[in-house]
Amino acid sequence: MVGVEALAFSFAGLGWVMVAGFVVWVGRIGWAVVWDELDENMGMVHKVDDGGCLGSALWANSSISCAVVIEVGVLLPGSRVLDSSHVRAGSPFDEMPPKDAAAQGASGGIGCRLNVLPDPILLRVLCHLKAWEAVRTCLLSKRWRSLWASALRLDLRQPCGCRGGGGEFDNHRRAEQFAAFVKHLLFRRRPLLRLDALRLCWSHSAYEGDSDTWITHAVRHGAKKIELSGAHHAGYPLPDYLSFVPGDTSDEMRLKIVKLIRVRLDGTTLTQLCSRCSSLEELELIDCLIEGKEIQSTSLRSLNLISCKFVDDFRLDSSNLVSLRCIRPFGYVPRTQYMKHLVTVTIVLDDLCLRNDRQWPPKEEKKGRIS
Amino acid sequence: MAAPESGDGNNGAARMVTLISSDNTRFEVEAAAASLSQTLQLTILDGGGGGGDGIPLPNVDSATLSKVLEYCIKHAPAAANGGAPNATAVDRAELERFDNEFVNIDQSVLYSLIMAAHNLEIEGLQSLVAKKVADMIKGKSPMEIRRTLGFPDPTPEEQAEMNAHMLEYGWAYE
Repeated sequence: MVGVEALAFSFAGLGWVMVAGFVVWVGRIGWAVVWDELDENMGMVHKVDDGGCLGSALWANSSISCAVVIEVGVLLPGSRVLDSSHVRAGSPFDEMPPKDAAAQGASGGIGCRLNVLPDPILLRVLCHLKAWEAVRTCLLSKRWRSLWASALRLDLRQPCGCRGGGGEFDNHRRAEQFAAFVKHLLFRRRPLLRLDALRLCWSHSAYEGDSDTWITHAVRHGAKKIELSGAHHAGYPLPDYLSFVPGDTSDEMRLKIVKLIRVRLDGTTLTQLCSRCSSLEELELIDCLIEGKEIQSTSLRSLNLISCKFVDDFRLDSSNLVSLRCIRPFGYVPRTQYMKHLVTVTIVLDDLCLRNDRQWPPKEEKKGRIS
Repeated sequence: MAAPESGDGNNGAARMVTLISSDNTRFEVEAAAASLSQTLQLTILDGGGGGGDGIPLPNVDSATLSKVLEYCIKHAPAAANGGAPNATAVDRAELERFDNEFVNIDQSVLYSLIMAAHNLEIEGLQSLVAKKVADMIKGKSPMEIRRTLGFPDPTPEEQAEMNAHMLEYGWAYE
């Protein structure tokens, strides 16, 4: 018995460390859950049109039209301050401990007091910063140094210098520096920490990694939202669809929202992306060169196609779609299958963007399509 | 004392609850608005805070609580609609304008708000104040960030660490 106690005592230190570690871990998971629906920046459903359907979507000839339904909100009356009175004893909130030790005595700027706030608050702040803004907070204090890389959402949107006119050598050097930075950042993140969202600009391949590497990392760490923009790149980059798919099929598929800006999507990429990302619910393609022939998915609920270039006979076959936006398609207009769950449709056509070698069958004209 | 009329919550529409700040000031507010707080939500669902009783909030003073409730009242209708589905562009723009003005406040008030939002678990407000702090950091040099947030000037030791760090991440400071 004594032996057991001694053993227990000798491991007490280790035990406490483990308990503390577990509490921190559990706490983080708790926050992660709270943060699930946090992201407003990458939300992709924009309700411009309300209650329409494909057949009744409105547009004017060769002009851009959006139907906006305006509702007048009714504000609730303000709260009234009553007279001060008794405080009921025994409320659950009596036990709510003052979590901020410094709040009572600290004076001066907000910084000193921020320093002692719980991790979730500081991580929330870091979520709103781009990675190279977050790294600067390292210079504030040790506290920030341990946190800066661990935000649940990473914003790595460093544009490549393709269109900036920088020399090739200079661009290459910057790409290498940036890749090294991102590698370091991912390394500095707390182990087992989930990564909820990743925003990226296309990056040139570098020794330390490139955008495909980082997307792979994010997907394997349970990312729900991924945004990739090739807007600053000279051509239309082609992302690797494999990076959006978890390598191990036993991994839980969490990817729900994908937003791609100014990238090229060939047939294989588009097909594989839609069919293998079985949890994908929202897809937003902006300014993309779509070479594939169809988007086919049973999981997609929201699809935004904005200023994308389509090939002839492009088909949209996504039976569970609830919201569809197709704004200013270039070349050809996508053809859609019957979608019984569709609630919101916004279609904006611009004659100037469409090729005139397409003859629409009469049935399509009835739906209001113009060529 | 003006007693809340519909404390039992059976007539749903305008049920009021009373919140009591740390300095014993009582605030009467619609249950829908107070329910934006995850911490309060369960108590309110259980019928707490109505009638003559209030829900004491020993961590929140009256100035902060009135500010928090101002936010809750403004955001309650949108939250009741389940977020965005019925919101129009005009509504959203109005809320955005309100939010921008709402956080245009003194740092000490902002700090109290951060703590209150955290303790009361008001998701939108937590996000809003975090964004405000992030905005205070954005686009500034490390020294400017320190000054903006009121950090004391670095000691020589810290300065040396800062320099080493800036060398390591040189490009991030360009």
